[in-house]
This record gives sequence, C-alpha cells and structure tokens, in this order.
Amino acid sequence: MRLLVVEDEPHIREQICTQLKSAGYVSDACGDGREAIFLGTEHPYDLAIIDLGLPEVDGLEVVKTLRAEGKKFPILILTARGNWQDKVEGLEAGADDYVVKPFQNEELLARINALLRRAAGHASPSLDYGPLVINTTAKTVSRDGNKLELTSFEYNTLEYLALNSGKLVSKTELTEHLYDQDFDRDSNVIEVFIGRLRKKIDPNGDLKPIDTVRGQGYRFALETQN
Amino acid sequence: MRLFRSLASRFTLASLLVLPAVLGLSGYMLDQAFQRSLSTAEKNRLNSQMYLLLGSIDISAGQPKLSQELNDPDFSRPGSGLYAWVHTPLGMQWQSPSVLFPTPSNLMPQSIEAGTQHFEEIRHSSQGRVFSLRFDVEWESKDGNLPIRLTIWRDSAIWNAELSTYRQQLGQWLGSLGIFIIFAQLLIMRWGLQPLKRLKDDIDKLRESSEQQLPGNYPSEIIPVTHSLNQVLANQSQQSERYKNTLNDLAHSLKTPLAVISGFAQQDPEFEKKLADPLRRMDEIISHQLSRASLGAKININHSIDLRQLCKRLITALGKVYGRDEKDFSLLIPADCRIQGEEADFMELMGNLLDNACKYGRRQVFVDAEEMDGQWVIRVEDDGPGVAGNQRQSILTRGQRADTANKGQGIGLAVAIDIVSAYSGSVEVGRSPILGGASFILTLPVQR
Repeated sequence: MRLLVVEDEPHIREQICTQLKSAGYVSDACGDGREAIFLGTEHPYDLAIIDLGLPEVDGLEVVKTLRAEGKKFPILILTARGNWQDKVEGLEAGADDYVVKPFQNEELLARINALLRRAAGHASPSLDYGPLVINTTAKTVSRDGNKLELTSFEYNTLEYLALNSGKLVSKTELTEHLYDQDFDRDSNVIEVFIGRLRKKIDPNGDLKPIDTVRGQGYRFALETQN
Repeated sequence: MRLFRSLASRFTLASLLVLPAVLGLSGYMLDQAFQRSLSTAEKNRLNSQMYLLLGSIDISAGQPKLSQELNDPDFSRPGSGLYAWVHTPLGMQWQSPSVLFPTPSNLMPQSIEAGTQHFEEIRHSSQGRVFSLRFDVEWESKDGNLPIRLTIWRDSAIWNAELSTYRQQLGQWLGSLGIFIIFAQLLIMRWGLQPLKRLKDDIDKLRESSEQQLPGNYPSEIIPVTHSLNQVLANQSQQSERYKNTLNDLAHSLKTPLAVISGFAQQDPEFEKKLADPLRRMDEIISHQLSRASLGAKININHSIDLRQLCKRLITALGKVYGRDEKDFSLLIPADCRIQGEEADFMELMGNLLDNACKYGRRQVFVDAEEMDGQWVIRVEDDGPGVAGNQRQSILTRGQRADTANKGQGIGLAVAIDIVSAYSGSVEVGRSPILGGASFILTLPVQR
C-alpha cells in the first residue's frame, strides 16, 4: 500500500512516515499543497493523509483538486482546530475521515486501515475466505485456523491483492504500491515473492488463491464469505 | 407608552387629534360666513318689500293710505311671518293684516329722520327672532311734507331653514372630507413608512441569505442609517473573520507542537506513560478554550439557520466517518425549522452531540426538533447503553467525563453545554423512549 503524507510540520511528517513504515506501508511525503497536488495526480496512491493547515494552497483545496482530477483513493484529513465546520467542509470536499491533532499513532493507523478496507468494499476488518482468513487490523493471516508466519512484504502483497480481489494487478502496480521508490524493480523479485507466498498460504495447492495471468500480472481468485 | 413605540400609531394619533380641530374650525368659519351672507340676503329681500310697500302708499287727507293691494300675499295672510307697519309722528297709521299680535310699543318713532334706513335683528317676545327693516321717508304732498316711518318685519323661519339645510350639507361635506383626509393620510403614511418596512425586510433578508450588506436604494433620510449599519456589519464581519483566523492560527500553533511532543513521547513507552495524561489534558484545555473563545465571535445580526440542512450535512459527514452502512440516522427535524444563531456554533453543537450518539450508540441515531411554548426543543437520541441515572448530572458538569477511558466525550459535551448556555438554553440527559439509549434534550429560547 502506497500512501501520500502531506504535512507541513517536518517532525509530525517524519513521525507519521515512521509509523506507516513500521506498519508495513510505503509512503511519499511532502510539506506543501502544490507538491501534494502534483504527487497525488501523478502517482497511484492507495490513500492520502492531508493536513488542513498547509501553507499557500491549503489542505481543503488539495482535497478538492484531487477529487476534481478524478482521484478516488481515500483521503484522511488532519485538523488542528478540530471544529465541526472544518471537519464537515473537509468531508464535503471529498475527504473520507479526519483525525484531530494531537493523535495517538494507533488511532491514526486504525483509521488508515479502516479506510483502506472500506475502499476495497469490506466492512469488517477480517477478510474471511473460508480456510484463509486475513485480519487487516492485526495484520495476520490464518489458514484453517492456524496463524501463518508471513514477512511484512508478503503480508502486504497478499492484503493488496485481496483488497483488489477479482481485479488484474500488474507487477508494476504491485511494485508501485508496495515498495519504496528506490526498490529494485526487477520483476523476478515479485515472482519469487508470489511463489513464496503461495507456498505459505496454500502448501497443498488445493485453494489456489492467486492466479497468474501470463504476461500481465496476478489476480486474487477467492471471494469473501462475510 | 407602548402605543407610541410605533411610528404609525404616533402619526395616526396626531392626525386623529388635529383633524377634528381643523375640520371643526373650518366648519365654524364657514357657518359664520354663511350666516352673514344669509343676513345680507335677508336685508336685500326686506329692501325689495320696502320699495313695494313704498309704491303702494298714497297720502290722502294728510294721512298715508294703501292705494292698492300689496303684491306679496304674505302681508295679507294672518300670521304669515311677514309684517309691515306705517307710522307717522302722530302714531300708527297702518299695519298689515298679517299682524296678529299687539303692535310692539317700541315701533312708535321718537323722531323721524328722512332718508335713514336701519336693519337689525330683534328678539320678540312672541315671534322670537325677527329681522326688521326700518325706513324713514318725508312724503311730499299738497298739504306739506309728511314724515313717515315704514317698518317691515320678517320672522327667522326661512333664515333658520336655509341655515339648517346649509349646516346639514356642510356637515356632510366636512365628514366626507375628513374620511378622505384620513384615507389619504393612511396612504401617505404607508408610502412614507415604506422605506422603513423595506429596511426591516432587508435586515430580515440578511439573516436568510449570505448577503452581508444592505442595498443602497433608500430615501436620503434613511441612507445615513443604512450606511452606518453597513459599516457596523462590515466591521463585524471583518472582525469575526479576523477572530476566526486568529483562533485557527492559535489552534494550529498550539496543537502542532503538542502533536510533535505527543509523537516523540509515543516513541518511548516510558515517556508515553508519563506524558500521555498531561498531554491529553493540555489538548482538551486548548480545544475547550478555543471553542469557548469562538463563541465570542458572534455577529449581532444572527443569521437564521436551517437546522435540518445543517444536521443533514453533519449526518452525511458522519456517515462517511462511521461507514455509511453502519449507522442508521433518523432526521425528523421539520423542513421549516429556522433557528437564529451562528452556523458555526450550531455546527459545533449538533456535531458534538451527533458524534457522541454515533460513538456510544450501536446503530440508530435519532434527531428531532420542535417548537414548544416559545422554545426550541432539540432531541438527539441513540440506541447505546445510555447514561446511568447517577451520572446524568455529573456528565453535564462542565469538562467532567462520564468515563475517564472515553477520551473526547467530556470535551465534546462540555463544548455543547457552553454553546447552549451562550444561547440561554439548557441541556438535559435522559433515556431515549424510542431507542433505549441516551437522550440529550436541548432547550433553546426562540429568538425573533
């Protein structure tokens, strides 16, 4: 999951990015509205965190512009004042949720998680595919009730594919959404990851959760039971 | 006096006092003038009779005699009201057959001065008011000059009848005139006061719309008022904008460092444990004080708020935050519900209450407003666990939280209570009769 963080106060920006990284998200950060609009329109983000009180072009304007550009990813606004007028204006402009400063890291992550899940059309934090269950809050995967040991990259790959269930996801898209820009974009690495992931979640090969579409990418083939 | 607070009633009262006086005085003067003209006409009529009488008199044997029948039959008809006498210095020589009463003794001339004429009004004991014309002549005859006094009387019956007809007519005219003047005055008053009514309507419109200025097309007498009012409005609007910006800057410049500290504190569990509570308290104090301060940024001309629309916006926003399918809002505020106040205040008030209802309720949230006995009663109810009876009073005490673990409710509710108090209203907590959860009942006086 690639997230955009727009916050003019460098410390907070850094803190958010650190938290996101440790939660397994990839993020791009910037400190002003103009750059935010540029990044938001140029890159396929899964979610944006936008502070309302930005210098020059304010956060509300950024949200409006991104929505006017047809960007559909969830937007979480950060507000210092936290009054309802600002919150309602932000939500009306196209934001999906708000967090009032100062915030608890867990709260921010929980909101991000819920927004990503909701954007994928899942109300419950747990994605139940029968024998395979993905818990997006705890970031764990279980197979037939047994918790699987996945690396955070593996988990993120699986979660991304699951949240885009039924949709063809190219290797480029996976790289863009899951890894830092300086990551080696060798498509073999992705293949190796997917291969390892398949072995872990479907050791006997009877579930076949991830289809390979030759020359195009992957598709998550299971349907949720909840 | 309450009556005189209205310009229209002042004008009406003034014209009601002045109009009868003017009409009465005019009536009196016209009546006097008419009486004078009636008397003149009477004198002229008597004059004609006098000449006829003169023409009928002949002197024979040194005494005046009527040579022919008098033209006017009233002289012959007894009690007709027209009487004539002929006197010489020796005594009465002739009286018209119409005289049925004893000849008044004062008709007897003391001296006769030929050529003099005298017209007067006399009050007679039996005939009442009579007009009298006396004419002294010196008759030339073969036997020498004979001084004669001719007297004609006429009673006032005709005079009275004419006067009474005139008075009746005059009364009708003046009455019609009075009605016309009152009517015209009402129209003039309406026309004259119209700019004031328009001013009131325009001020009312200011509440309804986002317009911040009154239009300029008023009469020159009112323009200074609207000009000043516009200046006040512009100043207030600027001041309120400045105030809002200052509060936003203040919030930003206080909360951002707080967020930085909080972020750093969260990196170290030891620090976080120590700092969490003071940081939360600082955050709540800042939020609470900023909300209270923003209550001071009120503009004097309160706009009228469409509460249903406002709650609709909040519900849409909250629907987004809590997931559209997870909350079931029942918005029962009537479409014509208009509350006088600042939109930001009511957004904050209803936002906090609805947010709490979403936070603590399970699924259903109910919001309703109705006008009762000059007060707005607004209810926000949920289907959550509700507020226990012994906690109801304490959660309404400012800043006190029902559950210390539930960060946020205290401040949200405290802000809501502050806003309600600023609008001279009150908050009550109870159990929702429909949903079974908490019920927050706001009572706000209706401002007109």
